[in-house]
Amino acid sequence: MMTNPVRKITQGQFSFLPELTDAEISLQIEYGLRRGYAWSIEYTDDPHPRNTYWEMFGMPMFDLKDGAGVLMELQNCRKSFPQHYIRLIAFDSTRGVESIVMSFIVTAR
Amino acid sequence: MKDDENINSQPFMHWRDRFLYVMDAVNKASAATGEVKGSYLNVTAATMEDMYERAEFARQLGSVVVMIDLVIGWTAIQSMSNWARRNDMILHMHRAGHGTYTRQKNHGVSFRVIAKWLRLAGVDHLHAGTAVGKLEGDPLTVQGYYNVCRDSYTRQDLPRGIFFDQDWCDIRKVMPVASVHSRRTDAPAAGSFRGRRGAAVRWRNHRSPAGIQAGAVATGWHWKRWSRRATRATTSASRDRRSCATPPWLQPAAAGARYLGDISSTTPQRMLPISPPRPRWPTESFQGEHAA
Repeated sequence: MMTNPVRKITQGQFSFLPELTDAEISLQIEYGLRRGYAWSIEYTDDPHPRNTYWEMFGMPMFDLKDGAGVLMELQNCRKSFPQHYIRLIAFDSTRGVESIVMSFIVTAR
Repeated sequence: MKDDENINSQPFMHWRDRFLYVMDAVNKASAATGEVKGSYLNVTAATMEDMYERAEFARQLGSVVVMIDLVIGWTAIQSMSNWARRNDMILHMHRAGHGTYTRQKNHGVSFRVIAKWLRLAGVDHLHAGTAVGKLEGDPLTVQGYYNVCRDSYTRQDLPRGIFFDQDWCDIRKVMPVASVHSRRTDAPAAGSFRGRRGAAVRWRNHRSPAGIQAGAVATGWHWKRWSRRATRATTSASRDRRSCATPPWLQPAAAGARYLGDISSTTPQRMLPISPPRPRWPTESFQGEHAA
């Protein structure tokens, strides 16, 4: 692929950067929680851009205010689906927004 | 990608050929990069029926977005908004013609007012320009347009030309878009940057793929840095000066060493299989989505 020589999935935030470390992922989670977002985790084996609906790994964590809990769920997902693509998404329930405002793919390992 | 030119001569511009060729390129780009790509197909025409015909053709070709010029008039803009809602399409509002309202400074209408009208008319995007004015308008004025597009509740803000509080209730927000040279420093406020992270920066230089990639990389750094700083103030000066040129991990030479060589290396990198699965091309499924 001429325009994507490294064959890295370039979808969502940070996709043109090196993979985020767990520490950096926690920072993003903390940032989202601070803004009142609800995190959820999704995985798929089909990263086609038209595949909008990835499989949910558990319910969206609407009431979870502790970043460590989100990271723990992520580790569970990585353990369950080591070969899949995993992404973290944040939902903003503010009236008038009510949509996904952050989304980034993380490594399975 | 935006065709950032006005529709001037209808006989000259061959809209049907343009749509076909452009969608050909959009599909190729999408297949090559694995990302959803779109190009604003300009459906501006002389009559409402012509515009519906063109928009319908764009939809059938699998485009996700159409654009209209401001010159089509307010009734037509609202009709196209309704059409876009009914057909699940994004409607980009090109501000071609706004000079007839805004150029004259001693009378006329500020673009800020036009932005309000357009938000009420229900467009999705608005070509609002960069906060570092391309042609004219000082940064504060442009920030006024952006706030009018993005706010749920606009507070009085005299330096930005907002004279009264305004509660937007449930009127949908509009994404302000710029066509060229939006730099990291352009983001006037968190809200508008968030709106633009997927859009304006991709059009950093719409003539150069390298510019687009550099824009995407710069946006990534900017967001990461900005959100981190918002979380805790640990930003170092060196990180601030991170280069926006094509970084080593996106250069093919480095890719060979880092991605395709020792897969069990200590830096885990997500990658597709060596022979990536051919992307399912959105023929059946995509048309199915739109089947009434």
